[in-house]
Formats: sequence, C-alpha cells, structure tokens
Amino acid sequence: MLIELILNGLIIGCIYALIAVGLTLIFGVMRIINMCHGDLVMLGMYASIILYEKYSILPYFSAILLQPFFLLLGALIYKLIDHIPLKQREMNSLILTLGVSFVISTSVMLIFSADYRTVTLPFSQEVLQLGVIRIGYPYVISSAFSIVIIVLFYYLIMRTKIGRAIRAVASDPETASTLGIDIKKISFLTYSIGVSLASIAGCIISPILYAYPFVGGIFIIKAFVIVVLGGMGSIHGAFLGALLLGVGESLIIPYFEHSMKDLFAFILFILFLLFKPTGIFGGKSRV
Amino acid sequence: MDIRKKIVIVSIIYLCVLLLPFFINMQEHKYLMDIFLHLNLALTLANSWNILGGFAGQVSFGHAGFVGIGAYTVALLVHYLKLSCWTALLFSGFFSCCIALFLGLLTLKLRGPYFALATLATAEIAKIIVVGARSFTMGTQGVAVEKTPLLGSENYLVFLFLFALMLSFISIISSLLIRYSKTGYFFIAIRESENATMAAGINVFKYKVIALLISGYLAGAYGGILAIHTGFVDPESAFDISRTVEPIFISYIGGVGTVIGPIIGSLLLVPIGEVLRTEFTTAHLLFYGIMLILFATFFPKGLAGLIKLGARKNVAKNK
Amino acid sequence: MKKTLILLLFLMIFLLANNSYAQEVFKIGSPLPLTGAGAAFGEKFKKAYQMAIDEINSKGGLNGKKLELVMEDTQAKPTLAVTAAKKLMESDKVIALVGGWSSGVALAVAPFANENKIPYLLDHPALDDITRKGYGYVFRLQPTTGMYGAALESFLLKQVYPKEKKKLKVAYLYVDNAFGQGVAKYGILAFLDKNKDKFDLVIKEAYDEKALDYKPLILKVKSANPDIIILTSYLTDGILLAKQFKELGITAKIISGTGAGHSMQDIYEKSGGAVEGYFTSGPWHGNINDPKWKEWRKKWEAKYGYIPGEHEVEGYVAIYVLAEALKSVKAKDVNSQRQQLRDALSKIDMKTIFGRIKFENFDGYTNQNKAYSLTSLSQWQKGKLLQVWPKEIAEAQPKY
Repeated sequence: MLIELILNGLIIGCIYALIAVGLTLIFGVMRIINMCHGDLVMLGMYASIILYEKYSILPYFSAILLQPFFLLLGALIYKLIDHIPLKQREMNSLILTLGVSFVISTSVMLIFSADYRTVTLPFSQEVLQLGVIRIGYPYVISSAFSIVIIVLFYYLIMRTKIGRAIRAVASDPETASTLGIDIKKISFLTYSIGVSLASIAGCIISPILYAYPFVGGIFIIKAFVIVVLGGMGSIHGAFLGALLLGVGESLIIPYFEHSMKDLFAFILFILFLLFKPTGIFGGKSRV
Repeated sequence: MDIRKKIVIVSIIYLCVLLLPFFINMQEHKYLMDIFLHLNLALTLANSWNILGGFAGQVSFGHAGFVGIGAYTVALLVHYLKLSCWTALLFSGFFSCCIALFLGLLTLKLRGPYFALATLATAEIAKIIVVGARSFTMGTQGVAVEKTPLLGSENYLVFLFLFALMLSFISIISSLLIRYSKTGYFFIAIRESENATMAAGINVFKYKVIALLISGYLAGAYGGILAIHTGFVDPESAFDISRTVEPIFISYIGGVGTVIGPIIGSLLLVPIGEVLRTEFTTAHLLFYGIMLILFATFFPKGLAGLIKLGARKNVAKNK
Repeated sequence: MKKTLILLLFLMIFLLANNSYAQEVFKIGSPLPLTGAGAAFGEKFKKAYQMAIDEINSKGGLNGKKLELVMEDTQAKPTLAVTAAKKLMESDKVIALVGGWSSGVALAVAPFANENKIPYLLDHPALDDITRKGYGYVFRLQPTTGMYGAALESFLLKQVYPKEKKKLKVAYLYVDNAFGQGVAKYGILAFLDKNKDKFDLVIKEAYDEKALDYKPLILKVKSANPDIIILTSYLTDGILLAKQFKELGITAKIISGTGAGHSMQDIYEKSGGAVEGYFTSGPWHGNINDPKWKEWRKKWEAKYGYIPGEHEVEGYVAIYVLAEALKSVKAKDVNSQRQQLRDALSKIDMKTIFGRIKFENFDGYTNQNKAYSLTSLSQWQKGKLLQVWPKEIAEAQPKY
C-alpha cells in the first residue's frame, strides 16, 4: 500500500506543479499574486470539455489548440494590471485579479449552468497494471503530459534568451532594466506564460476530475500552499513543493480522519510563511 | 471640518435612525428591518476590514475566520453553558479579539501579500478545526442557536437591529477616532512605508497589533449577531468566503483607506446587492466582479475619491 | 455630502417599503439554491413545482384562486435563506413556504417559519433534527436521513445475511456534511450497531466533499477487504469515488449508496458507467406499479426530456399536498389563511404518486410522514436505475 500511496502522490503532485509553477513565476517577476489562477484552470477544463463534446478533440490536443485564446485572455488581464500605478500595484492587483476571478467563474456559470461536467474518454476505464499497482490511463497520460510541459518550460527559462531575461527581472528588476531589458515586455511574457500553463493544467485535469464553475477555488488554495512551500518565486521550489504536497497528502489520509487532511497542508503553509518564507531551498535565489 | 463635528453628525444620524422603529411597525416590516440589519452589519464588517486593510495597509483575506469564530463563540456558549444568546454576544467579539491577538503575534511580522496569504490560511485552519472537532462543535451538522427573551421581551428583531446599529456606530466612531489620532497617522505611515516608519523609531508591530485587535473585535461581534439572526451555525456558512470578499468589495468601491468609503460603499451596495439578488438571481456576482475590476484598476480611490474630485472641480469652476 | 447621505437613506426606505395589495392568488414561496454549487438541484425543484402549479391552474385553480410560485435564491446558505424567507413572508405575503433542498437551509428556515406561524412543507431537506424539535408549523412529506437506508437495511438482513451465514465486513464512507452525518447517525451506524452480531464495521470514515483525490482513502478500504461497502455521497464525490473504485479494482459483494448522488442519472453518465451494479437506497421514485405514476412519468419526459428521479417526484407532490390543504382555506387575511392551512395540513391523509402522505407525531418526530415504506433499494443495471427491493415493487432481480 505504501508504494501505491507514494506513486499516487507523485502523480497528483505533477499536476499540482503545473498550476503552481505559473503562479510562482508571475509572483517572482511581477510581485503580484494572481488570484484568478484557479479560475483560469477551470476555464481550461471547460474549454477542453466543450471541444471534446462538440468535436471529439482529446483534451490533450486542445491543451495546445487553445493556446492562442488563452494568450489573448492573458494579454487582456495583463493590460488591466499594467494600468494600475506601480505604487499601488501590489495590493490593487490582488483585488483586481479577485474581480477577474468573479467575472470568469460567474460568466461560466451563466453560460454553462452550475452543473458538474466531466468528459469520459474512450480509454478512461482502462487501467495500467504493474504487479499489484493499478493506475488509470488518464492519470498516466496526464502526469506524463505535465512532466513534458514542465521540462519544456525549464528549457525555456534556463536555456533561452527570453528565459534569462525573465530570471534577470525576477532577481533584480533595476539592474535588469539598466542592462536594457524591457521590463514591461518581460512582465507581459511572464503573465502570458503563467496563464498558458494554467490553461494546459485545466485541459489535462478534465479527464480525471469534474468541472464546475467554482472549482478554481480548490486549485488556488493548493497552489498557494505549494508556492509558499517552495519559496515564493522559485520554480524549482514550486516543483518540489508540489511533489511534496502530493505525496504528503496521499500518505497522511489513511492514518488521519479524511476531513482533517487539509490541516496538514495549511499548518505547513503557516510554518513556512513564518519561519522559512524563502521556502525549502532557502537562500535568496528566485527563479 | 474637525473630528468633533463629524462625531456629532454621525451621532445625530444614528439618533434619527434609532427613532425609526417609532415610525415603522417592525413586526410588519421584518424584511425591511432585515435589510437595515444587513446594512449595518455590512458597514461594520467593511469598517473592520478597512481599519486593518485600508488604514494600516495590512490586507486581510481571513475576515471570514474572525466572523466564524464569533459565530461559533455565541453558538457554543449558548449550547453548553446555556447562556442567554445576548450575553454570549458580548463574548463573541472578545473571543475573536483573543484569537486575533494570537494570530497577530504569529503573522504580523509578515508583509503585504505574505500577510494576506497567512490570514487566508488561518481562516481555513479555523474552519477545518471546527469541522474536525466534531464531538465538541457538532462538526458539519452545525449548532442551533436558541433565541432567549431579553428584558422579558421576545422582540428579537428589534434587539438584533439595535445591537447591529450600536455595533456599526462603534465601528464608524472607531474609524473616525483612529483616522484623526496619532495612532491613525502611524497606521497610514505603516501603509505607505513600513521601513520608513520603523526607521522613525515607531513600534510598527505594536500598531499593527492594535489595528488587528480592533478589526478582530468588530468582525467577531458581527459573527455573533449573524449567528443569532440565522439561529443556526454551521462551518460552511459561518466561515463563508463571502465574509472575506464582501468587506473588501465595499471598501474598494466606497474608497479604501477613508472613513467615508465603507459608509458610501455599504449604503449603496447593500440595497443594490439585495435588488440584484432578488431580481437577477444568477447575475449579481458578475456585476460585483466587473465593479471590482473597474474600481481596482481605474478608480483606486473609490467613490469617495470620485466625489472629492468632483467637488474640487466644482470649486475650481466657481472660482 | 451629508445631504446626499441622508437622501440616500430615505430613498432606500421608499425603495424597499413594498406596497401590499389584496391577494387574488395563493402565493407559495420557496427558498431554493438557484446559484452556487446547489443550483443543479434548485433547477429540478423549480421544474417540478412549476409543472404541478401549471396543471392546477389550467384546471381552474383552487376555489377560483390561482396558485403562484415565488422563488428566492439562497445559494444554499442558511443566512441568506432567513432573509429570503422574511422577504417571502412580508413583501410577497406567501401563504406557505416549501422546499429548500439542503438541510442547512431548512434548519434555519424552520424555526423562523414556526415563530411567524407560516406553514413550511419540506420535500427534500432530510436531516432528522428538523422535525424533532416540536415545530407545529413544519411538515415533512419525505423520509428523513435516518430512514434513507431503511430498504438497504431490510435487504441486508432478510436477503444477504441469511444466504451468507457468516459475519460480513462492512466499510462505510459518508460525506462530511449535515446530510451525510444525519444518514450515518440516525441510519446506517445505528443499524450496524444494533446488528453487531451479523455485521462487522471495519472502516467508518467521514470524507471531505471537495477532495480532488480519494485514492488514499480507497486504498485504505481496499486493504481492509470488506464484503459490503456503503457510501453516502453527493454527485461529484460519488462520481470520483466510483471512477477511482474501478481504477483501483475494488471488489466487494455489495456496493450501495444511500440516495442523493447515487440515485441521479448523472452519476451513471458522468462516471462513464462506473456505477454499474451499484445499489442505492433512498426515497423511492414513487410506486412504479401505480398507473398514475406511469402516466406522470410520461408527461414529465415529454415536457422536460429526461427521466425524473426522487427530487422531481417530491417537488411535484409537495405542491399537490399544499393544494389539497388549500382547498379548505377560506379566510380573507393572510394570517388566518396560514392558520387554516396549517390545520388542514395536519389533517391531511392522501394518496399521491410518491405514496401515502399523512403527517404524524411519533418517536420524537412532529408532523413527519411515516415514510419508512417510501424508500426502496434500486440497482444500476445496464445504465438504468431499477428498483429491486422490497419485492412488491421490484422491477428487476438484484444482482450481486
């Protein structure tokens, strides 16, 4: 049972990571907390469900197909954030993205009603059997998909010119701007990448979970915990934090009452906030 | 206008409202009185949030936690100690205040968004504990709050109304007193620049704790009144996230960091909200969201700021 | 500035002070979740009420008066529900309140209705406590949470246990909310406790409705290897549990839900058929051998395009129960009308498509329909929910 639990935790962790990495990146570069991140995930879920129902496009393909739409949406939200004077940005962006979260979730409710939605893929009942361990194919594919995306993302951040610029802005905006980096452009790019990651996460979650207009609230809270665990702004941290949370939750449930399971996450959250706000890796490094 | 004048004006308005029951038969207009009650409650909560988030600049995402604690204080005191719900009400703000103190000692070292996230988490922790401590709190089954007659009268709605009125009065007066006192200036200094305030030799932590205590007291008392009003408390409704969102919403639209902001905000939004809720059941949250985006982005000073701007233009024109 | 404030205040008073007019219709108020997570259920009741009301009105109404439904959104929140009930009572001057869907809402509205002497008819909020507080104005026509499992219990005792002739291991998972706690406390756990010699409760767990992943919990169940698994679930959690049961290869002789999520058509479709073979015990859909029921079902399918379940039957019948009682309401002013309605309700004894409705006081309950017999055990067989127990109303043989 222990191996199964750990494996399950890792799979869930991979998916958490995809959500949390975007959130932490946006925080690292722009110093804002994106309250509508969970709703963007939800939007990804709905979009992929609709595409599957109408045109039977598998959610994994819609994850890529939908990108132009989400990049546009990201740009729109970014424009709003950019409009806030720099001095008030830290707090007002919180409120602004909260408003965006309301608008997204309520619009979805008005259009698609509050009904729960799921997709049932042709292979959704198929199970991969490894000895005694059983994993459903949707889980296998989703976690593999999110690992691929995260590797690509790592490459983008660590090895490309844009990535270097993003890291530079995150660690020291002033120096970065004296070096000729256009901070606005980098912020814009970062926000778009974050939104895009959230939407991909939504698409690949839809085969394994249900969607309803307010499901974003569940994701955002998990993502906050992970981001703080890993150190706000740290990408390695977010990935490790996600796996840690996934495995931790998985291991704790059989031994505690089920309704207490989130207590573990939140207490870790507070402890890290208080005593180690730089996260697991510590130090000052961001991104 | 100096602060004394303002206090007198507020008091006069409240006295007028206090006379209302003589003109309106409360027993026949329970719904109307209920809206007034909610108006006063919303005003209290908005002031509570604004003192902490608007004046002292410590944005809280955890007001639902204070409200929930206040509500459960009343419910459990009535349930276990068989106290009259009105006596229990006096404890609700106090107990919530204690929790706020504890929370403050833990989290107020954190800054800006970190503090906001910490309050969010503590509110969730409080809720999980209430759900999990089933044998004591009845968990998700909730607790009924039996109403008890006060001074031999069973006019619960009138009492609730009076208590809510008193609470909102206290909240406005505290808001005024803080804004125009040294404490208030320190609050604002902390909001503008914590480092500079600290450098000026001011005990930043102390003033943050003060703001949190006042805020916690008002929010807790709010929860207590709500518990008596509903007559039933369960984790889902006591720790409802809308208790966090509503005061932020009202403060931002009215004008965050001003005394008048929450007043304008709640006077405008509570009736509008009620009409929207009853007329366009599904769409009201959409309206809230759009307003929030508009005000956070384009009118960060809220309606109060707009009115001031309008007045200034008028003056300029007349000159 | 001050003037504006004062003006605003007065404006509000005028805006909100509603004009009252003489009542040409019987207004029935319903606090329902029309937005938020419960909206899908609110919709079901809305349809059911409207159908019944349209039928009655097209036949000329009651004593020449038409029925009218006034709904208020509660978002399934007790606090909003109390305000909504006040509005229904005063602005709309409704003669009775009906429904509410969730137990939390009903727990808040019931004392209010009782205090203000408005009859309140419950058609779905099932928590036992609501009719155990001696409220003279609160009536409930459907089984309480404690009764939900009645059909399953008799099935286990009379059919399963005699065949097995050994102590059976039971795992019980229930959703951690008022409904789940009620079914557990007054129903399943009480039953298992009474029959300790026959059933061995190996796992008992209240789970969080909003979890993303139930696998760790299911692995725990798997390692205990139970013969019988009983679930009390809503829809989303029910779907996830069913999918993940299948994925992890849970094999128990009997897996049974207790109404709610497991009785909804959605669970079969949205779990991709993972609930095939599941039992579910709860308020029945009505006596399916009754020709009136068959006729009604056809009408419903023609109008709304899907097969009605327990919610639709309960809502539809609730309006007819009120209509029957309203026949003897003759008074002019609304307060005496409410009084007369209450008296009429407490005398009611009628046959409906849901079953016999008679409000009685027994075992600590007040004005509660003795609805033990209005529960049935159904089973998902090839995508259809067929009643399999008790034998008198069985459409199919139970397969296990």
